[in-house]
Amino acid sequence: MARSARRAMVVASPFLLAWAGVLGIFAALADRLPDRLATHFGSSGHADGFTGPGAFLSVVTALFLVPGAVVGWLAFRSRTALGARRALVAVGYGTPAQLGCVFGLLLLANADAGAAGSEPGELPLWQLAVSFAVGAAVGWVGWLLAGLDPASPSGDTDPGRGPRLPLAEGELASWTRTVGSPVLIGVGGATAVLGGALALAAGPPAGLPPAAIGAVTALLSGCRVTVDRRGLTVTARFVARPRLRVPLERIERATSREFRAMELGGWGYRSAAGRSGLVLRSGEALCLRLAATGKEFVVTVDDAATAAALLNTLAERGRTAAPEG
Amino acid sequence: MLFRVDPGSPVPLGDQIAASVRGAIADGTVRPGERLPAARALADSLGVNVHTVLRGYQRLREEGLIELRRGRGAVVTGDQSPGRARLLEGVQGLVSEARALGLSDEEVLSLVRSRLAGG
Repeated sequence: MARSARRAMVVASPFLLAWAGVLGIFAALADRLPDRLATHFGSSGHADGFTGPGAFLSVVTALFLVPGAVVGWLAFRSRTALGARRALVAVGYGTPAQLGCVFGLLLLANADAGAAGSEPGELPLWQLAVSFAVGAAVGWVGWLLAGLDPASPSGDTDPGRGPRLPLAEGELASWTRTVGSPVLIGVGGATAVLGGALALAAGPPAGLPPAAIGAVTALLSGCRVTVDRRGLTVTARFVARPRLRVPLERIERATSREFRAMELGGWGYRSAAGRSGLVLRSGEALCLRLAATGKEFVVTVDDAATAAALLNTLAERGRTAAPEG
Repeated sequence: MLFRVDPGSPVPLGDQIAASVRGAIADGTVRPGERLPAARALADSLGVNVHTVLRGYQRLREEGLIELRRGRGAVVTGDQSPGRARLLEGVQGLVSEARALGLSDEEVLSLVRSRLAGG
């Protein structure tokens, strides 16, 4: 997709540019650089560690291109707008800029030393401070660039949007559905069985903790999701507690969409920058935008469209009943 | 599945709950073997009396759509239940229409009987 490719480019380019910059400086100064580059400096600013140019270039290449490729790939795979990850993008800009600056200054210091014929170069602390200032400035550019990719393209702060389910006045409604997680049942069951086997083979102290963890995981692998006059409630399927409830008045807007478990980094109760959720599988999910905080809460469940429509209708009913509340 | 009950309707609340389940079984939202919410939980959720829910579940059991087991709750019965639910909805439609036309029970039954006899 063009958009994900663009995002990948936006996050990977600072790494590429910093790498190209350092290489450019290296090429420009090549004939003035000493055979052994001073690459480590004591607190006084005097060199006390040295590296050959080949090793130096390998380290520089690995340091910029590997993280660059990783963030580029992550941005390419993720559907999250960069606007929702502004701080992360800013760090992703500032860090290579600062690092690139340090390498550039290092090469300059070495070139100066080489030109002056004095063996160890010097890197005063104030130059480090300069690199951090440059890093901060470039980080700020990253922050601004990320803002160009808005977090919610539909600009949906309007609670009037979102699907509805027509209800007669005074009509009571409750939507409920169970959702299971094959992954968590599998992992939990296998852990419990392994723990049991371990308890027999190596004694209870070794086997019981994994057996217990596995059993709890398997017990919590199924959920019942309920939408009613109280809001959204998620209970474990086989046990009454723990229970998770989002009251109607906290729900600004509900929608349903396709969700991939990796969007929140895996299965179970997940939480990440501005989003949290109960992820039991990939697929249809109910997404809530929470009032006041603007955060998103996600529960993966079938028939989420009906749940979202009912939540919007009930939340609206609550708002019209108590206009100031 | 979606339960809807309207206290303003002349249809008893228990029957409305039963109708919600029947509809969900008929259109495949709820599949055979699936468990309905516990009567107590559904009553709390809707804000109705638990006996109302139990009356609805009892009705569904009489219709052969669910099984009520102690400790297991209400479970939608085997493979026939979707077709059966659709048939029951048809019967419901027949009864309402006959009532609206002012037909007596005997007249409705004889209509059905003659149709059954005709194959």
